[in-house]
Amino acid sequence: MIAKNKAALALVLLLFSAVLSAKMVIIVNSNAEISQLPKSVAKGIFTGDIKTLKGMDDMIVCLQEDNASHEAFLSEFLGMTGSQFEQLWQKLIFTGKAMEPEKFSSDAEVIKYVIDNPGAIGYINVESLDNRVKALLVK
Amino acid sequence: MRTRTYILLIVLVVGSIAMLNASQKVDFHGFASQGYLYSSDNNYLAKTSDGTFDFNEFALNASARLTRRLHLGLQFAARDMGDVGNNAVYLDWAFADYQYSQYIGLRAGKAKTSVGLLADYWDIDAVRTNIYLPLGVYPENFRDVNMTNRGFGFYGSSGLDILGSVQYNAMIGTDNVSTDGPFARWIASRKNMEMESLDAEYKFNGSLTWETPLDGLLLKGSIIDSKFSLGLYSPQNNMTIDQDTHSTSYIGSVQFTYKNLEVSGEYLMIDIHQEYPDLPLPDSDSKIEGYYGKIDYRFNDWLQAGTYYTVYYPDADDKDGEDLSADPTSAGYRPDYWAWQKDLCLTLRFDPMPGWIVKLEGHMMNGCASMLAMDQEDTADMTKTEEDWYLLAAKLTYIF
Repeated sequence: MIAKNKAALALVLLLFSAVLSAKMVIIVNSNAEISQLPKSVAKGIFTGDIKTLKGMDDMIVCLQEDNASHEAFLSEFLGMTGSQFEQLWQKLIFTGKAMEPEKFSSDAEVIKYVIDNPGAIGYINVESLDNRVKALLVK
Repeated sequence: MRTRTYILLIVLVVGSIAMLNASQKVDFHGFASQGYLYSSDNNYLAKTSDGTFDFNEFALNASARLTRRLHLGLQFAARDMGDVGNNAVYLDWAFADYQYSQYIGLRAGKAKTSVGLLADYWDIDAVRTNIYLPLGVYPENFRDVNMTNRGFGFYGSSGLDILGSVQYNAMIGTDNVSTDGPFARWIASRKNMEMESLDAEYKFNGSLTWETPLDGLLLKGSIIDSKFSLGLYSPQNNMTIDQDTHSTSYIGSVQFTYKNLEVSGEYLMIDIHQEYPDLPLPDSDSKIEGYYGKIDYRFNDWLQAGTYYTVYYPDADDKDGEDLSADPTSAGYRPDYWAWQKDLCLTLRFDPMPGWIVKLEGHMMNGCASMLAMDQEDTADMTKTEEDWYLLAAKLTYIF
């Protein structure tokens, strides 16, 4: 029992420290069954390679318009510039390999959409994070 | 009339998808490009030495997600490049895509082959810096045989922990090739015969991409293996010759991206085995070889520049053209510089406002291997072509 509690505490601390050290966080609905993602999977989701994920029924990818959060996310998680990311999605759309994700203009809009849609996955600035959504540990 | 039929079809298909599942959104996207070409001395794929606007591309696609794992889509396209295409509308791709998990997904229908770094994007001017793809690995004359496949396919990806990640793609099927398209014209130019038919036995395409642990470094291996029968008409002998062909293309690719800089290179080798079942002719084997090195750099939101150097040999066993030019009295004689084509290209791409793209491109060419006899001013005498020549291209694209 004690060992179990220690493990849970360690996970919370790990998540907390990871979130604190990052500028951007990936968020999902608070009822989603997942709490962490390998970095390669996170990259695959936002670059259109991965369209379905265990524990995330009806996954809906949420992007932000060309704003500060979007640029920071691309740099931190995908290692891409805005134009590279735009061209990547045009490649997917014009070869039929993926559909265009939902797009939002602010962190607040992403949070609202994620709250209303259990399968939504998006990204926001860590300073906008609140307890209505779940931040994923990406490692 | 044919264009109207296609538009009606796209409306019907997409409308049906929307009605079947009214809660799901249907995406529409498209692009339109208009280009201008001018060349010194030789005509390249069109009557370019006079300057030509016979160079455009259009596409319209629709996609719908039917369930969490299944989506459907199709794209109609039209293009004009000299005497090829003439803006006739064709089905570019149309398939159902079912992704069971990140490790495996299935596709059924007509899809892009995903070979090399650029084959999927031959038509999509907006996603690259250059107007022309490097001809050493993406010869315009093979555009209609390498871009798509029609059948069943698998794809997926997997993380390899500290070793990065891999993606794979494979498809088996067949595909129609037009008897007046780029490949048919290439056959006519090289063999002095008309391609009356192409019956494909099968086409397999596969690729494996490794995103290495070094951020931005990507390695990829691709293959297209196909068997097909050509019906070739020889006007000189007034007879039709059946030719069975087994062709295997190998492409090795490397790409490194660091911030706004992208450096890439690819190598192509095509092994071709040909048999003549109805004639007492020996089997023949030949190789096509090509490669390129490319650098792209984006300076800011509206300016991107790119340069590449590419080399193409339609007969890798005769790179200096000695065999090709051995007999000046033969019908269809070619000077030795028709055995290769080397191209140094420089492109400027401007993105003046969202959706609009302007490109200016210059090519310094040496050799004529990718040119076609029927495009030249004197279609019977290739000694009138020039070994060193220039090509200028400009293109305006709108994408939505």
